[in-house]
Amino acid sequence: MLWLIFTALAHASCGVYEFKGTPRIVGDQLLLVIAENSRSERIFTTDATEQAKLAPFLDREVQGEFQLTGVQSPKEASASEFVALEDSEHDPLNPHYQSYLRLKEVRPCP
Amino acid sequence: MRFVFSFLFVALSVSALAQSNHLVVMGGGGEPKGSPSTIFDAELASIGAFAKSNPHWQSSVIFDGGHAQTEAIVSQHFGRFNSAGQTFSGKNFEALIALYERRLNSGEIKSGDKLLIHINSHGALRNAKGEETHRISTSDAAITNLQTLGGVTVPLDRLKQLTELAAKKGVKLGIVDLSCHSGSTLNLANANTCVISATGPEHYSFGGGATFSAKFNQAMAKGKSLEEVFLTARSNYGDTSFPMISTPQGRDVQSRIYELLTPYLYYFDPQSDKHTKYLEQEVQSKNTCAPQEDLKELVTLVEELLKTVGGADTQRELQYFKTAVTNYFNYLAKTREEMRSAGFPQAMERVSFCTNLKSPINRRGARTRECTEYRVKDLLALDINRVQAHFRDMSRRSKGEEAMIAQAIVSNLDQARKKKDELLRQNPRLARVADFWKQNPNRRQETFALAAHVSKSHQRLFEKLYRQSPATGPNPCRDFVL
Repeated sequence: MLWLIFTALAHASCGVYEFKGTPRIVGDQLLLVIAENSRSERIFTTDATEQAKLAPFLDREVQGEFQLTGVQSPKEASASEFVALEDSEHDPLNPHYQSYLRLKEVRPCP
Repeated sequence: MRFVFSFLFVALSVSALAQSNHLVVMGGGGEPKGSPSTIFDAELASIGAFAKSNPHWQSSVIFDGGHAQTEAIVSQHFGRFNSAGQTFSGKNFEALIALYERRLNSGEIKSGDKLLIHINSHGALRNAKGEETHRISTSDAAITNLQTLGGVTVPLDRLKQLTELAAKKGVKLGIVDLSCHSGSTLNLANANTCVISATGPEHYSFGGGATFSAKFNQAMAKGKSLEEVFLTARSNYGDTSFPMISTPQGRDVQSRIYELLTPYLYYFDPQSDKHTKYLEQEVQSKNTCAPQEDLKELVTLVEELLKTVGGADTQRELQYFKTAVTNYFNYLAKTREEMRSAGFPQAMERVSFCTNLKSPINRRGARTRECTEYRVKDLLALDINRVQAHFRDMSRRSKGEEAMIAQAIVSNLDQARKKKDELLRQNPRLARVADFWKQNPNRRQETFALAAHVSKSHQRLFEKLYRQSPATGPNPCRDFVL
């Protein structure tokens, strides 16, 4: 699973993604972190309006969808249009349902 | 001599017209890498056993790809697994459907022949925007969600053309979809095509053990019709699915009870939860009497049936169903009441905070307001001081549009704080909303037991209603004999 996240970002297409991750305030940024503390950890930066949407879920696992708007490096990308945000229940019996990132629909990069 | 010629003529004619049987097995997609097996192995082995013991069925298989044990089952029952051509990829799915379309068009599969398509993969909820059926997972990627799937999928709408071709050519077509939410696949049925699904459009299906899928595959035998196989499996299975069939009788019964039974077949599961969403929607509904009315309709149906059916066992099972569904109704009614006490309908409402029109944001040349919207339950979870400090800092660090937006959010969060305080002052119980679902650690076991009782006991109800149904019309499921 973590390997798949790596490949997804390394060759990421712009488009709508389903995700499960954790919003964190790191330094002066509010970021979405996926596959946290793993070798495949990836961070997603976003603008202030989108950060406000993520704010209620700060430091908790959240799932939803966003649009990937660009990839800055193999570890960092930018995202916008966060929708369908929901608290995510953790199920230790299904480890592969933990943090993830999956392409749902390819869209042109802005 | 004349007898010999007659015999030869008849023998040659029979040979030329001999019916052929074709079995297409597909699925096994969406499973995570790293394990040698998939959750579809047991059913793959049982449909494989049917194929092996019935060599007059010519089989084609595209299944899984990447799981050694699953591939070994394909090899054992259908011949050596060829990963390039038999992996259940989108490409191979398209190629296989196109191949059968060509075989129908060319007359290689002809009038009177039978074609059975057996599908067992992860299945998505139907997307009402443009889908007649639903999508199933391929082996191109693992799923991320049991309802919308994620990963890579193919649409079963792609089989529509095959159903039309089969009808035109007089080929008997059977489609068995054992995936989750497969009730939507009944939309492919026509006077010539029989469709059987392991569950309804809103429910999960299950595999292995005594599930419907397992029982269905085990009941498949030479000389039995698809309708007989379905009814045998449906009369005694152990899971919370709702198997469906496209016969006139099946459609009649399903239209009478499926919607009414839907919430009573849900149970709480952290990763594939339909139960919580149902309750959260229900508690917001204006028509608070709807669940009571639906229960009354179900109970009336059972009581009418009790007047007409004999047999102590049947009477007892129908009474048991009435008790099981009433027990679950009472549990849901109690939970709804607790949710209301905790302020739940209000917790699902949305509140919006916007900057003043007198101080608009200059966004790429346009003057707009910055709005921030939250559900009440998310607002209650929001650490406003911490988040506001973050945006205040951002407004100081940045310039231009970004600084203006950050400042606007700081202002919106001031409004949010006032709203949060007001909501908690008016209804202090709202503070418990965030933890409401965590208060009962036994919810999973409790709801599963209730749903399992309803599922088990409704099987006799379905069977009796099916046998008594006055519905008539073409029945390709009865005409499709294995």
